[in-house]
Parts: sequence; C-alpha cells; structure tokens
Amino acid sequence: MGENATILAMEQNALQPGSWPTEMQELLLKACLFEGRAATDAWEEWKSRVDIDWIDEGSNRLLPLLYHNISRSGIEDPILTRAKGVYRYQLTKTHIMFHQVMPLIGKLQKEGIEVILLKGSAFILEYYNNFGLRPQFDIDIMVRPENVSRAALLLEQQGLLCEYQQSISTIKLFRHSCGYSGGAEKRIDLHWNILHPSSDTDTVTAIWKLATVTNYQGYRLLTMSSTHHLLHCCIHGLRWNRHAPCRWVADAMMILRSSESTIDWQLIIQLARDLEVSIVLHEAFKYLNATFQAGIPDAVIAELEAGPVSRLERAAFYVHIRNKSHVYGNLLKYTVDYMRHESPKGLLKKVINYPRFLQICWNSQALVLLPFELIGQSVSQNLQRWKTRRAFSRNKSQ
Amino acid sequence: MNKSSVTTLSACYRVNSPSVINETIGDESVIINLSDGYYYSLDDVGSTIWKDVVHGYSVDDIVRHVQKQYQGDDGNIEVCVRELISELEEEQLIVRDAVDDSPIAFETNQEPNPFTKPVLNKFSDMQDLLLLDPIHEVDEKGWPFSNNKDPE
Repeated sequence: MGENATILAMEQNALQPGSWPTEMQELLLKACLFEGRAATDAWEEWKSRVDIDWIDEGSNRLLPLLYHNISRSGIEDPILTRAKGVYRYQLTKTHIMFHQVMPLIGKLQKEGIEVILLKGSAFILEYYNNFGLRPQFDIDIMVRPENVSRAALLLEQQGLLCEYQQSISTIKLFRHSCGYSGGAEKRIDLHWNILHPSSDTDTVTAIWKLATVTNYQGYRLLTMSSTHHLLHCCIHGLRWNRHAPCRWVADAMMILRSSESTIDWQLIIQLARDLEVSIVLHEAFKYLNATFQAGIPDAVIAELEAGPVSRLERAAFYVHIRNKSHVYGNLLKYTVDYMRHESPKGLLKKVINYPRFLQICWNSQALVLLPFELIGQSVSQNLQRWKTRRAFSRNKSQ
Repeated sequence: MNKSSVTTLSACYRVNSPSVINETIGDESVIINLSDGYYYSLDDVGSTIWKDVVHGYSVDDIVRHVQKQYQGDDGNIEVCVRELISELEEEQLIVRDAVDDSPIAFETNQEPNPFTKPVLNKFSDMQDLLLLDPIHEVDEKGWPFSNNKDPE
C-alpha cells in the first residue's frame, strides 16, 4: 500500500462518517457487549486491525466498556491498560459532573420544577450501574414545557450560560433543548421535548405519566420509562454523523438486557407512529437483532415496517441516514425537521420564520450573517479535513 | 510522615462520604475527594487496606488481614498499614467511626503474596488531569499518568 493510501486508510478509520457503525466499530461493540469466546474473538480481531492512536471518537468512548468486559476474561494487553486509563478518566469525570450538576437539579426541584433525567446520566444510573462505563459530555434533563422559562432563569442565576444568543422563548419555538454551561464539568442540556420543539403533546404527557424514580446520593430523581429510553436512544443514535455513531448500540443493548421484560412494545409502536419515526426505529431494531441478537420481537419489527409512513418521515429518514455532506447535509436536515415541527403553524408562517430557525441552528448573531455562516462552516470543515490529513501524514512519517 | 500521627488505637473508620467517592477497577482502588477535587489511587496492598476500611473493619483487624494475606515482616506490615490509614485520615478520605470490638476471623486459601509498602498516589490538580488526553498524552499505565514527553 502506498503512503497516501495508508494515510487515507488511517483517516477513514479515524474519521469515517456515516449512519451505521463501521466494520471496526462493530467488532469493538461485540468485544464490549458479547460474552465469553464471542467477545474475546472480536477483541482479538479488533486489536489486530486497529491503531489505538487513531481510533475514531465513537470507538474511544467505548474503551471503558471494552476494558470492563474483556479484563473479566483475565486477558492482559497494553491496549487494555490504555482502555483502563480511559475508564479511570471517565469514572472521575462523570463523578465530578454529577457532583457539580446535582445541586442545580436540587435547586430546580426546590422551586417546584420537576426534572426528568434523560440519556447518558439516566443510562448510567439505571442500566450501566457504573460511572466509568458511559462517557457523556453533559447531563440531559427535561422539564415540563410550562416550566422551561423558570428553569432557564434559575440556571442563569446560578451562573450558567446559555449556548445560544437568543432568548429562551425564541429557542423554545425552534428547538427541543438548550445547553447551559457553568465551566469545567458543570454542563446541562435542558430539554422540554425529546425530538422536536413541539412534537406531539400526548407523547410528552405520556413520558411524564410513565416516569419512574431513580436515586443519586440522596437526590430523588425522575427518569423516563425503559420503553421511552429505548425509543429515544435509537432515534437519536441512528443518524448520519461526521464520526459514524456507535454508542447508541451499546446503550440500546444495555437497556434491553436490563429491562427487556418491562419494555412495552405496543407503546413503542404507537410512539413511533405518533412521532413519525417508524422507519428509523424499524431499521435500528432490525440492525440490533441481526448483528447483536438483541431479541426484539419479530412481530414488532414487522408492525413498524407495515405502519403508515408520511412523505416527510421518508424525507427525514433519507436526510438523516443517507446524506454525505456535513454542512449541506445539515442544512437539508434542519429544513426537513423544520417542516415536521408543529410550530409555527401554516406554510406562510413557516417560510417567514425559516431564517430565524436557521439563526438558532447556527447560533448566528444576526439574520444577515446567515449566508456567511454557511460559507464559514464549509471552509471550516474543509480546513479541519486538511489539518487531520496533515496530522496523519506527520504521524506516518515519524 | 509524622510518627505521632500514626494510628495506634484499634479504631474503626468509614469513608468520608458523600464528599468522597470510591470505586474499584480491577485490583486498584480509585478514590475521589469531590470537595477539593483531589484524585487518589491505591494498588494491590493499599487497595486491600482500603477495601477493609470500606467494610468497616477495625485497624487491628485490617493489620491481621494484611499479615495473613501478604508475606513479610509482621511488625513492618503493621507499621505500614497504620501509616497508610493515618495518611487516608489526614487527606480526609476516611473519618473515625464507632469502635467495633469483635475481631474478625480471616480465612484465606491462597498462597500469600509478597508484601510491598502501600503507596497512596495523589493527583493534585483535577482540572489539569482532566485536560490530559486519556489516549495520547499518557504513559503505559493510562490516564492520569502523563508520558512526560516534550510536546513537538
């Protein structure tokens, strides 16, 4: 293989964009999730083909789980020692994050604002039962739609900064969540919905109705039902990304293993139809069964396949799963998602508000800057690619 | 270590929770003091002592347990155990608890391992450590052990 081809191969391994886990990620996931010989075989093959210094971001996040699963077989290896370091790092980081964020959640609760834990932090407490195994960037919480402004104000009073420059009432119109950061590991993603800003109020009501209780060091917290967690994890995970996403597979398998008997499959089918995510859920479930023997009932997969699907849902599936370009693909995704939002109602209002929507998506200071944002993002993406290739080149020549 | 600070009574200790969090990773104990951001690591003998503290064993019981589990001079083992427990107390990772007078009978079928003096590894600047890339900037022991290589 020529030098350029080698660099390209390394680059593809580290930066492979896509919607589905890559072949290497699948091997790693099997090493992380399977048991006995199936796990160790996958581990042996993965490590023989991987350069640990150039693994992709998604794989990097799976290293704690790899260490945890493979070290149980008594295997010792320098890669596992590095993976143990990542595990130790995540353990420390996640504990600090929980320690810094939980008092803020306590303050929200004290003000009568109910909070539901979503995604990573809920998965850690409910399914992984280990603070080192599931890396996360922030703590995702959801409040009732009517409490969003109060919650946002309280977080700001505690010194956290909103990631957007617009007011929370404007953000709420166009997004389903908003990030707040107080530095270091004090980061909260405040949600008021799980998918679109105003998607199906019945779904949100059902989330609150079926919420269960979880605990962390004296804090009594709510979290979604396993059924909602599984749906949320699959529809958020399976989508095109600059780095092929794979963590959703581990999350889904952990949910299924911990609570397979409590998953309400009929509710999942109903939710998929209400939220218009039947195609993506069908694809995710089919993949989990075929590649990881997830044991999702065939009848559920068949029902999802047979369900009514709108043109917009098909379009959304296409742009979220199949698109290849980050910048223009994102523009297309934003547009299709915007068309699926319930608000603003009416085509004319939608067209008029579209620039404001893009302004939020790109966090742009002014509407007139939007064309420059598009150009800037495109240039920045190409620059990043060039920098990465140069880094690979240097690494190869050393 | 100040000799006078070495524990001599058969005291009992408990983890200084909730500000101190501990987890076991293989044969290593990881201890995080959330109130000041310090991070600690104990290997092998140190980890055995830490787990005994977590179990609520008295210092005398811990000494006997370590003497049974490791091969070495009993007097030296006792001094090392008491020194480490004092250090853990000084770092406010453990606090005194009610004394338990009932001795525990330890049984072991394993061949004792050679005793090595337990060392409490302390990492003082959590933020700097968290900024370290756990893959690229660490030595063969993984994060938080930096590889100390000069940057290019």
